[in-house]
Amino acid sequence: MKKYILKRVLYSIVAILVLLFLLFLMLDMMPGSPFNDDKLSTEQIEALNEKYGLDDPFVVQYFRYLFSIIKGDFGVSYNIASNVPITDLLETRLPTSIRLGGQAVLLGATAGLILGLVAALKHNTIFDTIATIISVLGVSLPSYVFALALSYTLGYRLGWFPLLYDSTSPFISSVLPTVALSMFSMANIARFTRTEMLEVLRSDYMLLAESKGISGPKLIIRHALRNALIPIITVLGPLIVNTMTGSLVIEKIFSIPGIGELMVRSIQQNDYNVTIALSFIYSLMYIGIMLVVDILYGIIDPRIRLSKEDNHES
Amino acid sequence: MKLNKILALILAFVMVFSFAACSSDDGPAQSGDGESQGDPVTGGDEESEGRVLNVHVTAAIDSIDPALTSAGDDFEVIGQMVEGLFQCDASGAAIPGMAESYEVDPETGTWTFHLREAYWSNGDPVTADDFVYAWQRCFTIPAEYVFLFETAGIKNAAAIIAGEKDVTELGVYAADEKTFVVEFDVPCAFFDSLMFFPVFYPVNRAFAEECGELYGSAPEYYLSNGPFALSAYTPAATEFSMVKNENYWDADAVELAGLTYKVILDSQQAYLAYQNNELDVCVLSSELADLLKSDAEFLATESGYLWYMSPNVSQGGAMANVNIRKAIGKAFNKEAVCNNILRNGSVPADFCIPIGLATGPDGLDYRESSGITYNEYDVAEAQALWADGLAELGVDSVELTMIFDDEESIKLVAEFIQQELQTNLPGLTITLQPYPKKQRSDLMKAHDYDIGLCRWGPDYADPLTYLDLWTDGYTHNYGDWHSDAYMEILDKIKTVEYAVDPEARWELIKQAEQIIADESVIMPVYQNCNATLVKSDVDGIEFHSVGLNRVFKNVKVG
Repeated sequence: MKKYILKRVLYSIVAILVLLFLLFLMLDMMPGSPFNDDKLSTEQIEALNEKYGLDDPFVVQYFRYLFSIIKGDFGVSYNIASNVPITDLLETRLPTSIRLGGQAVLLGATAGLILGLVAALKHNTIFDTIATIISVLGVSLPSYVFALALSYTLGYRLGWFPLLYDSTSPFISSVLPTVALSMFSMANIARFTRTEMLEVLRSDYMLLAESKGISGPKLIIRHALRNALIPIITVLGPLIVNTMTGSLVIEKIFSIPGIGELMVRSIQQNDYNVTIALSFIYSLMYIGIMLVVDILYGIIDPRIRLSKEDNHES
Repeated sequence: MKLNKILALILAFVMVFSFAACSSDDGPAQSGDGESQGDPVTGGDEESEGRVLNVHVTAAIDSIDPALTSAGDDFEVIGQMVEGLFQCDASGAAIPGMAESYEVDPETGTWTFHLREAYWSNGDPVTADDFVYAWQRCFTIPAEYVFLFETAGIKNAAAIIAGEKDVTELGVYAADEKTFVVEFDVPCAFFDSLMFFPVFYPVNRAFAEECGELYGSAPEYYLSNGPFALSAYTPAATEFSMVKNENYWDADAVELAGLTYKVILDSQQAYLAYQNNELDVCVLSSELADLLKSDAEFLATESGYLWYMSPNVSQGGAMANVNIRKAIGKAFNKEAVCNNILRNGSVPADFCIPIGLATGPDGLDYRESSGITYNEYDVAEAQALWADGLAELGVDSVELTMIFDDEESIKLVAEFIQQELQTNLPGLTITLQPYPKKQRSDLMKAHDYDIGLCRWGPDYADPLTYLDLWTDGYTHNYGDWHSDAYMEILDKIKTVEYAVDPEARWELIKQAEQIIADESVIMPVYQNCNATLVKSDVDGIEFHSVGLNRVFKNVKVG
């Protein structure tokens, strides 16, 4: 087990290094430069390039960056927030994004689970149909459609929630973005829960449990849902990542000071350091979550772990 | 096995809840808890007297350090907090700011400013040394707009930029605590209006040196001597606030309790927020502007941006022929570009110096007093010129490539012009080639193109900010057009003799403009307009096409 985990962690580290290299390479090939103001003279641009070491060869830049990242230094922003260390930018923005994403995953998972349960238990009734329609919509419509619809109805028409994020009232002003962002994971989890539950409900051990006299909520929650949950947990990982990256658009619409909004801007303005730092963080999240899922697989299903372990090791 | 199951559940639990959990204790810097706030929808109103104005801005602010900025929105934001030697009034003319009075030496052109009793928001007096420090700082950083010091003709500025002299040799000094003196290589006729630009604003030396690199990164690292003081800000913030600066010398004139800037990229969301009273001032996209142009709260204000087609004269061929250039400039419907494509109140341009840029010695806007127009839309005339041009070239068809920025609205304009020109000028083929902005600009600077659709925004309130574009060796003389007569006039305009004789200078400027028109050096398309919604109870926002886009100091609410 230890060896399996160690192996997974090593793979993740290699993946991160390769990824960082690719990111660096891609940004190097991108047209333009961080200093694209029409008014800058050639001399000024040269001076700025020299100041930030952008005139050095690619390999030199890459290793310099790698070492500073290991030290926890992401460098400074070139033009989004001139000369401000990126760690300072992240200090306020990362928690905002994570909270938004966390709220959305939480809401999506809870609502999805309930929706899926209802659909499965009331199979082939009107509830099932409604739940299915909701999940189809949630999967197929992009989150910004929900964002606009919610803004127009709950925000503008009814005036229940503010349309713009306000850092002085972070909860109430994040209700609309959270709901919009949670739709995708809610729909997915609802679909999975429904399918899994239907399968479990038809299984032999449910029949056995029922014949042993277990019934009601205990039967559903302890015997059915618990077994149905295992495959759901495995899809949760990718869903969390989806939710996080989905916030790029949502943050833009609701004007939320998160990292998604920063990412979009850094790409548009060629602020290399910010783009790399944020891609790095996104990848870290993705790889981290995948690592957890991998380890979970190993724990839940011993066959995966055993097949990868060397036989002569105990 | 049992242990494994428990472990699995714990891990799953951690995975789901870690995101929510870690934010609850180290969330963004917030002044209060969400629930303690009142009605979130009304947002801005405060219990104290005066109101906080909620202002929409469409792009985030790069920096509030006067020496680090290059964007118009940044200028505007800084201009609400810091005041230079002069400030601009509602019409855009220069009126004294930090300078209570000044003298100009008629012989040397040296300006001597007597600063008023003014204080920084921390209580320090504003001194002449603050100006010396701030101006020298622009060279050491270096500021993107440091070239304005050269434009202003300040002594040794050009040499310092070229690296030939040390920054301490800049021709500015503090004669005493309240007397600031500026010496010139060449006196500048519009020096007063240059002073609106943030690079010329003062910076409190002791304070800034103490802050070091942190200067301008948070309210505690920023000082203001203007109408408002920073109260909440983080770099690249999507929302930041200012409160009325009680230490401002003219604080009695300021009615607002504060300003809150909201960066909203999505214009539709901004409009809904405006409807919801979360915003008092809302900038409109062209689609919304078209929809709302009859609204009582709708306001279209000219921005100084002139969009034009630049022909590359340097390569010879068709673009070097005046008749061909004129034909192309006349053969497309500019009204249609503004009314059918842009639909944001932009105006067709038959001129190379925009409306509302500069006020002349006659008190009139330059556009009114010059009256020089060219390349008016006229298909018949265009076709005649086209035929002449083709005959002179000895060809019967011309193929050109038009380059432009790869953005939706620009592309639509380019496509429309292409279609019009190809229909109206027989034998003309135009290929469209979009590029990222930086690449397009690089190609044009290298004179490697046929026609470029581009824009120019003014750097200061004088026609020279445009006329300089067509001088020899200027980076933005994209087409590398040259005329001895034109250079002669431009050199003359910049001499001491004309700096002290504004009327004669104005006449020379008109002569220069006439040459550009006769030669059709650029083919103007339109002058950009900004469409804005302003709540009906808000009055007195001053809009400018150059320098500070919006000034909120004199806003009255009620």
